[in-house]
Amino acid sequence: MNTSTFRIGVTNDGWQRAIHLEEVWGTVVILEVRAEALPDDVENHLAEVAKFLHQVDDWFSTYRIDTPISALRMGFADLAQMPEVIQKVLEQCNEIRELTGGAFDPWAVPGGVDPSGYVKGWAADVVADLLVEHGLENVSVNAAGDLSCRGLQGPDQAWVVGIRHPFDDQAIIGSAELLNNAMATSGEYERGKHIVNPFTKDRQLNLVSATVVGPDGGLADALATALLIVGLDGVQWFQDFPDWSGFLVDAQTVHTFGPAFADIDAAN
Amino acid sequence: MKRAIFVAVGTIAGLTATLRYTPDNPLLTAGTDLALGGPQTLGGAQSQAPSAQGSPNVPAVSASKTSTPVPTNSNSAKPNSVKTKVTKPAPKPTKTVKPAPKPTKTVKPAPKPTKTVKPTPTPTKTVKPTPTPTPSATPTPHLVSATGDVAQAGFYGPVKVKIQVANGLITSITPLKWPTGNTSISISGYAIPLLIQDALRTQSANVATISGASYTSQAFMTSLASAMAKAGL
Repeated sequence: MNTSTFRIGVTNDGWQRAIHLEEVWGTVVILEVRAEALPDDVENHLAEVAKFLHQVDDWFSTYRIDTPISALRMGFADLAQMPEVIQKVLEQCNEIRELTGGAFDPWAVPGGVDPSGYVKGWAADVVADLLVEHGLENVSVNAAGDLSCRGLQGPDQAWVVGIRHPFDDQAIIGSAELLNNAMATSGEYERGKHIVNPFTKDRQLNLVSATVVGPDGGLADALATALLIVGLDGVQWFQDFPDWSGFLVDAQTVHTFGPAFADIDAAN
Repeated sequence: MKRAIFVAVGTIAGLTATLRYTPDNPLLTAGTDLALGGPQTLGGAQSQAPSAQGSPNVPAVSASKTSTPVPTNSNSAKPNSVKTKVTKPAPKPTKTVKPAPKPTKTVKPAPKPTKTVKPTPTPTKTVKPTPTPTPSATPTPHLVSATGDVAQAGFYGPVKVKIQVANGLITSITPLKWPTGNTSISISGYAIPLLIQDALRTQSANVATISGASYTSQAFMTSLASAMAKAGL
């Protein structure tokens, strides 16, 4: 199943928009482009770029036995035999493992190395950049909740992205403007994700929801999950990343850091 | 797939506890207390066709004064509001930066060497819930309704939705047809209402898209897209 569809409409500001839905990875990835005037063949560009998502599945799916990552997990192949892209992704994962002191650890999950916690956000970034290469400047890619945006959503307006409310699936709990940034949210409510705490080997989490905004989608994806596990102590990882931001929710309180959430008032 | 998503109905009332986190990490901005609603209903399948989620341009987050501790199990409780100020999209100067495409990136994104961020904790402020701007008087609302095409949800069966549109905004989405049967209970009982809520709330508050919500039904989106195209959205 990899059906896709699209529609073209006009925003309140008069910009044209086109949306492409790609069913992949057991979910739906949404590609949206906007412009004062979109090219006539925008659908072709969207469909062409969306193919990359299936390429990612061909490399990284742990649900299929015919992928390189599965061969690696099952011990039928070693790292040196992996496609370069997998080697690079695993290198990144290793660096993030060090950065987070092991809170993000694709090697600690049952069943062998699983970089899925990085790949979705990384792929959203690549797709966004591919769309830009196709001449589409204003892009948002929503890879099942991991966002990557380029350009604007309307005249003089950066993309505004809402954060799902962890306790109320009808509401958003906050929002941020993304200017060529990625946003990833990890939440306890995501039952399907089965986040394993690599330290305790159980499912104990220290936040209810963690959102990370920054210029690297894969890193944002991984750090959101790592923060969910470690809690507020994980904010120290961002010491050298002044352009990164976070929106962290525990049972009672919202905590924020960084420029994307700078204008959220602290309140009693 | 059996999920005990919808827990029996019950209420939590009266408990008030406001925990306050004092940030020992200088990077953290002072916390914002969640004001969690009073008596509330737990669980329960969401209404199939909620009416418009708030008025246009008002973030779907409301403020409430009472606090109730929340069980960390998100399945069992849904405090209905949070006291936090949603970022108001302030117009930004057009600045289209095109980052060079980079399939894999180094972990340190532009490490700015010496700039230890120490945001001083924002002094406590009283939250003033953004007043709901009275919608500019629209003489006669332009009402449209459209029915989407039937879309096959593969294994799960057909999906068909109907939308109501007023002045260019979707006010309701009604699933006319959606999967039934044992294997698809979780799809129709959980995913479809979730998708409806997503579709409705994204169009408010100027929010273009939502982080943290995954879209599980391609068929829903397909039928919705065709309904929206028919309604001229």
